[in-house]
Amino acid sequence: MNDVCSDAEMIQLIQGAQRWETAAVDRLYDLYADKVFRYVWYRVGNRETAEDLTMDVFLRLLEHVPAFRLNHERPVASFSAWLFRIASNRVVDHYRRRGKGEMPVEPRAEVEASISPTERGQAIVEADETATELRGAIATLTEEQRQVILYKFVEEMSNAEVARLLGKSEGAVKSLQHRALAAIQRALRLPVTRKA
Amino acid sequence: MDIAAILDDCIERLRRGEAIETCLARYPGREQELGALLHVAAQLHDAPRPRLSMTSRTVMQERLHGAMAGKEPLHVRRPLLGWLRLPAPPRPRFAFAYATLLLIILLSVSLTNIAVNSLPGTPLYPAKRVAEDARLALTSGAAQRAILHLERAQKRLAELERLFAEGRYDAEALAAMQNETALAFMEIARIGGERQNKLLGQFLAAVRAQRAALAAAAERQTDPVARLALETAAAVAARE
Repeated sequence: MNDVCSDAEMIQLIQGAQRWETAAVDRLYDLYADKVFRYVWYRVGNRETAEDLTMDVFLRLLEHVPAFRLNHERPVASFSAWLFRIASNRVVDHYRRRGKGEMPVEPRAEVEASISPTERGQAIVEADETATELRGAIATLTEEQRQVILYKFVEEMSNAEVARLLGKSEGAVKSLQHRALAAIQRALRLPVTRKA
Repeated sequence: MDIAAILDDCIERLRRGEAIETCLARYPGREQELGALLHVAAQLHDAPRPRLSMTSRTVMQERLHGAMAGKEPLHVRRPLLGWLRLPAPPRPRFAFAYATLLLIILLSVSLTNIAVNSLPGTPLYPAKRVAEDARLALTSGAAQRAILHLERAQKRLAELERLFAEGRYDAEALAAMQNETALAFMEIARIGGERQNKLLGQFLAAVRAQRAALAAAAERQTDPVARLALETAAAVAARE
């Protein structure tokens, strides 16, 4: 499966999805399912909930894509930003419904289950414990800081891509990255009690 | 060069494989400020990137197809918040019954949502299973039912792993997982053609994941009975 999409292909996919063409929706799903899932997982910390919310994000995509206004100058970036905004809103709704409380920490076994068997191993298991702490620290960030961290380090996007996604300059992305890393460092050093 | 730009430069270098120490040496006098941040960046680089399991992926895609099948033609615009439209208001003498019915529905939906993450032995777990059974009862077609059974087997496995993490073992959850796996296979056997091959691939992937998880859990298990049960289950999965 090719997980790279050109601007030209994205225009066709969005137009196809707006007509609810299965092939176009399937391709968008293939391109974004894991990305959305990871983004949600890092924010809710529970595989089952993350899967449910990911499903919900794609159902909302289907519902609202006819009204999506395609930006012909940067179709991939604008669609990605739109989809991740749906995902972010869905996570916020989820916590609003649950009421405020501590973010759940996913048991290590469940983290293991969320990784393919070939990726398992002692090193990964140890990394997962760190990941749980990291996830907690990421939860303390502002929305913009969190997006920069997840896009750059989890999705491995460049500054230019993140800047296009967020509608900011590359300099602003670097500043957000700096503040976010400093906040994570503080959170990891101190006992963290956070709100959802 | 401000600290944000220096930090970004070092992060790019780390991404290309440069060591933190080498990077710090490029910016003398800023080692302390940069060092801690770069260690955080390195941890983020190494953080796992979980993916959807193949089963969940397929189930979601099937649901998307189902949702598309029910779509209205594009030119038909739905009214704002049309989905929220409720049935016509009841006549006054039925108002109480109507309100009670709505309340029961709302409570059931809320309970089911809360129960989604519950584990065997907790008060809300039966509600979770009832909701799952209701969904299965409403699912027709061997392929859809096979996918649902695989999904249920995966949920039982996830519950078992959470129980193992808490040092608990639940024989019923293990049996339920095996039962769902067997039912999935029975449904797959009723399908023909390319679809059967695709689902068999998912079935085998699910069984491999079960085997790996059970074998790992058996190694950690201190209770001899639980250990034997898990080893047996892992061996059964290996024979599938």
